[in-house]
Amino acid sequence: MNTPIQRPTGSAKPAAGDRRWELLLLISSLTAALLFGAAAFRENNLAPWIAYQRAYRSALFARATDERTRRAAASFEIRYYQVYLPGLGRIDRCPTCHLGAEDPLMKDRPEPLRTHPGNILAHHPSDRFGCTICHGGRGRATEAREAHGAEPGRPAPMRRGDMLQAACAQCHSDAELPGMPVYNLARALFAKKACLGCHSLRGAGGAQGPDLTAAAGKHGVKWHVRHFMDPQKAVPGSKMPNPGLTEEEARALACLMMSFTGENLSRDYLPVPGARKAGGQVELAADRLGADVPPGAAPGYVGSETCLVCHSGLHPEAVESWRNSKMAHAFEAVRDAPDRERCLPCHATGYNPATNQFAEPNVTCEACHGPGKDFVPAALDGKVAEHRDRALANVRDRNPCVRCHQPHVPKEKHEEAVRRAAPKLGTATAAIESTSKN
Amino acid sequence: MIPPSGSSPAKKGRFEKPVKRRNFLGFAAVGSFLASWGAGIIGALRLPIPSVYPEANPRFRIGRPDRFPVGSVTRIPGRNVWIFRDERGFYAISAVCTHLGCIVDRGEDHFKCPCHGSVFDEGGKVLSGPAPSPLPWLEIGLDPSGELIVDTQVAVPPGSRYAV
Amino acid sequence: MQFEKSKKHTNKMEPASAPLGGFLHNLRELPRNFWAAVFRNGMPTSERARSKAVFGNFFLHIHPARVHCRVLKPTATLGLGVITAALFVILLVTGVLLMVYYKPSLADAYDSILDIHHVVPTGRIIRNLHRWTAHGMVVAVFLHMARAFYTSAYKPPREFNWLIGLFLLVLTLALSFTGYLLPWDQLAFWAITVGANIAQSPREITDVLGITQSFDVGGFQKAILLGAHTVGQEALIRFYVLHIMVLPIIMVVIMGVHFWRIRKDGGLARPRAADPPPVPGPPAGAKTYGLMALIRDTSPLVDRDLKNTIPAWPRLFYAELAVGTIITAMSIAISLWADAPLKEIANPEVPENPAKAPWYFLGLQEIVSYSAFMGGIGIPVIVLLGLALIPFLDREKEEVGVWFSGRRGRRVACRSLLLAAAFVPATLAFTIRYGWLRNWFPEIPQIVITFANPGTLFVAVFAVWSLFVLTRTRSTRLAAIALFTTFLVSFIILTYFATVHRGPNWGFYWSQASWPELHGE
Repeated sequence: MNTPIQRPTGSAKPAAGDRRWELLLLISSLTAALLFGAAAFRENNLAPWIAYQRAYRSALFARATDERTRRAAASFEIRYYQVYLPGLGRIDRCPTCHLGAEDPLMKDRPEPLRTHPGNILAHHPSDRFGCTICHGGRGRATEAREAHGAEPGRPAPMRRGDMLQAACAQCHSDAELPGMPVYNLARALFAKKACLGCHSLRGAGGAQGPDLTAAAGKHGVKWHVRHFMDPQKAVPGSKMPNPGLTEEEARALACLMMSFTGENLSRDYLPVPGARKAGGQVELAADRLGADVPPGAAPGYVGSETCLVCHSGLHPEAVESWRNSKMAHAFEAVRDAPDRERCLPCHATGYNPATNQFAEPNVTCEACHGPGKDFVPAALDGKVAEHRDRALANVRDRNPCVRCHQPHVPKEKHEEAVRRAAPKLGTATAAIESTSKN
Repeated sequence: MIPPSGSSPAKKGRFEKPVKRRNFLGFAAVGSFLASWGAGIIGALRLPIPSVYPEANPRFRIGRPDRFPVGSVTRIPGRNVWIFRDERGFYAISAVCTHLGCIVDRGEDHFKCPCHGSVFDEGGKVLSGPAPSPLPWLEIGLDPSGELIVDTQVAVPPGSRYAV
Repeated sequence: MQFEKSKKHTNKMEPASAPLGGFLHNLRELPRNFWAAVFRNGMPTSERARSKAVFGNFFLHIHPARVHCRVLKPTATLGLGVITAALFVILLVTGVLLMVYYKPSLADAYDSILDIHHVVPTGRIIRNLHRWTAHGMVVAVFLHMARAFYTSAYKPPREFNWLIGLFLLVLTLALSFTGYLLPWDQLAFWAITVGANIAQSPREITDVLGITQSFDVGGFQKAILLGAHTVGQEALIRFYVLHIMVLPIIMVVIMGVHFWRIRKDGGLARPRAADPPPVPGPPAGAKTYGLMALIRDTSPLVDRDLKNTIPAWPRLFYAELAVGTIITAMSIAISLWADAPLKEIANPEVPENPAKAPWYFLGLQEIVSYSAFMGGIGIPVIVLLGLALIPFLDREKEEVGVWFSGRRGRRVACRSLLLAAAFVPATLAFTIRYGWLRNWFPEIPQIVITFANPGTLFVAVFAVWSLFVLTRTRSTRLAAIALFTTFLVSFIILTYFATVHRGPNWGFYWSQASWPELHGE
């Protein structure tokens, strides 16, 4: 291809007096110098923490009364303050702004200079625990936005309000901690609803549901609350039975979920055993088994509510047909009977003739499957097959139906049948109880 | 302007003739360039000087006074400090040799440095060896929380004690 | 201080008559002689001294002593080469500074970035500078390549330098990509996870051929890159070593070759019209350029008149320093205005949604969403091969240094731009509205999609367009312009599209504001 000759482009030889490049270099250099200066000024003067420290220093001066306190105020340096926590793999620079946290005289100051409320620092000294292990957030950051982790569209890393009680559950597995109502409620629900029957936590528990070890990193509090209120709405097709929680309970459990950070906390920071009862989540759930059953009832009964936590979701039709059966309402007929103790072996579950107490009214799961402590702990540990086998074995081996449903006894002869059966029934119940002890 | 090329003498003049005019603009440009870059580089060289060290606070709590009976000598774990308590009160002596920073061992009634053999007496005074100065006595006091607090960066005159 | 004068000082000898054998005299003269030893030439004021200053100085002699005055014409090059080099220098300086605090370990990497941002003196601005100039350099090399292409600067004798430039482009992308992982945040982790699995994508082909067992290129590439099955400590240290040592060393050496070739190939490409025919008679600078005359090669000035050249000292240096300083000032301004991004610490259990590669790979990721192999390996290889072969397929002897080779080229470029700007968005809109093969035939094997997807469609259509231009104009140069322009425009459109309009699950969104909420607070 022949391109037409271009018009000469190179003939514009710069005149000797052409100073454009010098001028450009001068201007750009001065601009660069200005920008360097701006960067230096911003770094050394404009950071918000510097303003807070100045305010703190004037507060120290304002309340200084004698020579010693004035000297102390004068010796306050404007610099980064931090807690170095090699055991937790953290450096918490929160004291760079939160200067008065440990100064009892700053309790009327506004944040960030205010004294830390409560007396938690007395048994969690800040130089050993730092700040972020409880409060969350980014300890290394020195700006509120970054440190408090207010990134949109993500789980807020900082724990606020009653959600702070999630922090306790990172180390404590006590059933109750004084002054931590949300923690206590969450612990009780976690055990009562037998979460570990389906979910696992640090290797313990079942495999039906997702692992909870690092649940805090996956979803935020709001999502968890939504999920607990209605699992299928948050996760369409979820197999999780609706735990039937109030909003307050859902929030408490969500709070507990936020304590499952997946972080490997140093052994040094776990509560020292001996001072309080040690034990993991699984033991706790098993310990709570039967806690709602009257103490005088036949031993080993846990109550149908425990079973229904899972089974109402696993096979709702079966549960529903039981609910509509006479068994689920058998207690009504004998509630006001004069010689009730004769009826209770068949009209209630877990009846103990010695104390005249029963585990719960009506004929429920354990009436046929035997006392729950025999096989429910296996389920709480995620051993579903064992749970199933033992619960079914009780039905198969002991033929519990005939205990109450005697063949060839017409309805009108019920009174007589009961009288005749009474001694036999006592022995049958005793037999089941004796096998369940091991 | 550059004269047109021609014979040899003219050429010599063309290439060797010094440019007389003083180029103030050029000097200013290069000067400000060097100055701004110098300032920028000196600023950036502040980077390796940490503004805060990744290490434990030199000021630390050691526990309530009743942890230390009268007459006790205690080494604080992880901290190179000896805590003494006698009838007159508490004092803290650094365990860092003043020679080259090794950690001194405590004998019956003296401190001995394993690195270069400096020996200090019970109160930190140099008895022998290359150490140029006695082991410093460190500030010890009481925290508002009621715990003793030691500052390894503040020396106090030897012999001073903190009475509880 | 003048050249001749300083020479006198260095050579001045003192008679050994004094009692201390001249030692005192030497001591007295020490400052002056010391100065003269370091600054041997003084301030060069004559043209000869200036030339000498340039080729007598290690750092300046990368330039010729005299350059064609067209070099200083801003529209000739737009200064893109100098800008790229300046950005690279900023990256080197800030990179070394960052190395003081950065720790390439899973436990410390993210924390050390937080430290650099929050408490290291000047750390924040240094990191911002490093991040933004890295992006800037990627942009600059792309533009520099486009400039070299559109001004025919790849033509003989510059084919080899074009290839070197292409290699530098790949190196720049590799440096940028390896650096992307180092902060160890969610953005980094998932971008590198996606990237590493693209490296594994040849399995898409080998699986179909059934040879993955014996010939697993994809697995090999991924293993080399990550040293494990997933992105972890091994990958971090590998990326670190590549990023701070291997790639920069290669880069510096190759950049040196790139600059040196510019001189060897006769300076910047310029049209013949820029130089009037040589003045007949004895060459004017016979003595000065005597050495050059021995070499039977294209050298900067042998066949050119000196009339159109100026000494590199001082004006070229003013210009280069000015461009470099403007770029630096702009980088600082951006770094003051915006902080380098840093998301949450990497969480290998919870992917970013969407997990996007670095922006310069997003155009490819758009194609990757159909076929990892085509988007990640097939098409990039086609493009790189195409670019590498341009100087050898287009051998038309025509003007170099002229933008678009004149009016016809400009027209072809405009039409190519319109074609790509219409065809690419139309195809994307079509796939969003109607889906692609798998939505219509769910049972379709992947291998079909590997070879029939929007990416390969673009390549095919643009190749046909280029052939059409070739047959119509019988000009390989115009065909090359057609092909290059369509690719460039579609690259820009795809990059824009994937950056702005792709959201969670790689769905289409008008903007990030309309992304659904994924993690409730």
